[in-house]
Amino acid sequence: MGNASKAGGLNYASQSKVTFYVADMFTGLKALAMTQIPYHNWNGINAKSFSDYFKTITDAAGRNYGNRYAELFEDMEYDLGRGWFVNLTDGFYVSEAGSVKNLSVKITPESQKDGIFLKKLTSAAYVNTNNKTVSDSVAAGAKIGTRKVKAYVSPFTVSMDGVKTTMGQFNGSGAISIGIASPDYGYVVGDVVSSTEGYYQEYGITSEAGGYYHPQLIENSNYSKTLNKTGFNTIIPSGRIVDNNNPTTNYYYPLQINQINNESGEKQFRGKTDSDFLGCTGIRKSTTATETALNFFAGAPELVLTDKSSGKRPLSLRTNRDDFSVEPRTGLSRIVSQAEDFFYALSKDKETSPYVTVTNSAKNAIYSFSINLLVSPEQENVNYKTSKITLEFIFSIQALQPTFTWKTSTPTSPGRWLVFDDAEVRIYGGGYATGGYTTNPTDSVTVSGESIYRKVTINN
Amino acid sequence: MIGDITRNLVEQFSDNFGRGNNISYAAGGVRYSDNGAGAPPIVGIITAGEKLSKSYSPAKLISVNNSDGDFSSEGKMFAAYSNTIKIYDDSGNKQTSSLLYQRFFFPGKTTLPLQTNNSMSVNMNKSTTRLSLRK
Repeated sequence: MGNASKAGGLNYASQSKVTFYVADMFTGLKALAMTQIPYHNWNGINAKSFSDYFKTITDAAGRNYGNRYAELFEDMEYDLGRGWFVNLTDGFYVSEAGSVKNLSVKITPESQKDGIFLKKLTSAAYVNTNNKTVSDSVAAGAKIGTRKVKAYVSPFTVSMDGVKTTMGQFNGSGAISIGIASPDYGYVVGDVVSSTEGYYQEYGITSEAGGYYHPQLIENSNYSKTLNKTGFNTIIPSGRIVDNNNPTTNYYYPLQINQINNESGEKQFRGKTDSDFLGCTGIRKSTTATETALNFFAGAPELVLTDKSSGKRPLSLRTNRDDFSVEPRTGLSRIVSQAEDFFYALSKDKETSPYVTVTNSAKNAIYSFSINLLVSPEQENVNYKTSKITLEFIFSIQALQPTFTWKTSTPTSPGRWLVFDDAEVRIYGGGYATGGYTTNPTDSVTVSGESIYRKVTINN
Repeated sequence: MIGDITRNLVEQFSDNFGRGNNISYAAGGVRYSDNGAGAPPIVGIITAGEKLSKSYSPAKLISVNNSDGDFSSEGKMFAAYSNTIKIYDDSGNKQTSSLLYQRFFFPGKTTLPLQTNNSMSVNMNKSTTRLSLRK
């Protein structure tokens, strides 16, 4: 059995190593996040500098991406596997009698250490920075956010595509990807605090009703009367991210009204046959999951629950904002911080720290570790040689910069990554150590020839 | 009013819970304090809506599987209403506007729960086909 990469043709190997440059996942998303700039407004914003960026990067045919945002998202997500999920491998196959074909596989960590890393990476367990035993149960872990012990949860998950062909259905024969899975999606219900505010709406709520709701509760005919009785004037689709160190503190990302209003009238469809009710494809007719995710986590501001009253509503969801000369907090900024926290925690956790290499510290830190996986046929009685794949993760905090700008903490506000401080994009890939980079996330290599996103080494 | 819109969503469109759709939210990522009936008592500062939603698992990665260029199916329908949303289709019944019923395509992938035998689950029955909307 072997695994293969599409980059530069299909390479088949029974053993291979994929080096994944974690910072590229986020700097690539920063490039895509700049499509969201029309929904933002702050003192001194230069929206044109962000839209001009897309005129400077080109596709494989040499056409620039200026005003071709849908194509950029599609090229990134569908062709390159570089979006909200990033492909680490492209597929698993068996080579038999000179032909390469799909088959159903099972994946096993090579050693206990590899299993522990997978478990923590996929958010099945907390990572402990203080060498204290933390329960594997995330729910139980909710009790742990004290001053003595900090426990962080991964913002990532790992995914595996199945493959369906005319030859059949093959479990796990597709790509292995790493994705951002900390958010969930639902609704924010409340009263808009200021109906004349064009950006960053805030919502008045009460302690009995309003706030974030699960769609399963909202999308129920029996609940519609209850919703009407609340008297709230707004219900908006919203993302939510839990604080990575305190599962009882959440951050909310309701779409802005200027995003909801952005539907142009095209791509409409009717509800039931002959229905008068029309639907549309949300936010700029997004055709990719990555764009949808960034609508919530780059196009909308972060809100937090406060006891600030609004009219007759005693509580409110307010922008988590301390400086009106820069962007409001966003979900992407929150996720980058959570990834940084997670890798730092891996380097301190007693189960993983012996296997994590750390170079430099703080905003110059570089973390690396490897996970070995064995891939074998799902059917026990099939006699194919087991394939081994090594996934090496390298996360250079330095390589996040200057694409992201670190805004240091103040006495009243914690530090945070700025997404929209400027239109700079640098994808360092393997150039994280030498300084080589490219500004185009659809490129294969940096200007000095290092692979970006991932480097595949076969028969290592 | 907002209840009227959510009722319309359920009655007029597919891909929502009220129509009996079994929308599967794949596992992965952090859980929330309002995660299911087995969750510990809520002691943190969360909104009333989250307390009311406590019996549901978080809506994480939504499965999507589309025919190329078909925008009228799959994905996930959401209601969106505010008295500050302008209504394009305001002839007659304003509740028919396409701005109020929007379909979103979310990250849809299979996640890999670690099994008790230390292997990863890659069962196709639990998997989602990656989004394919390319025109």
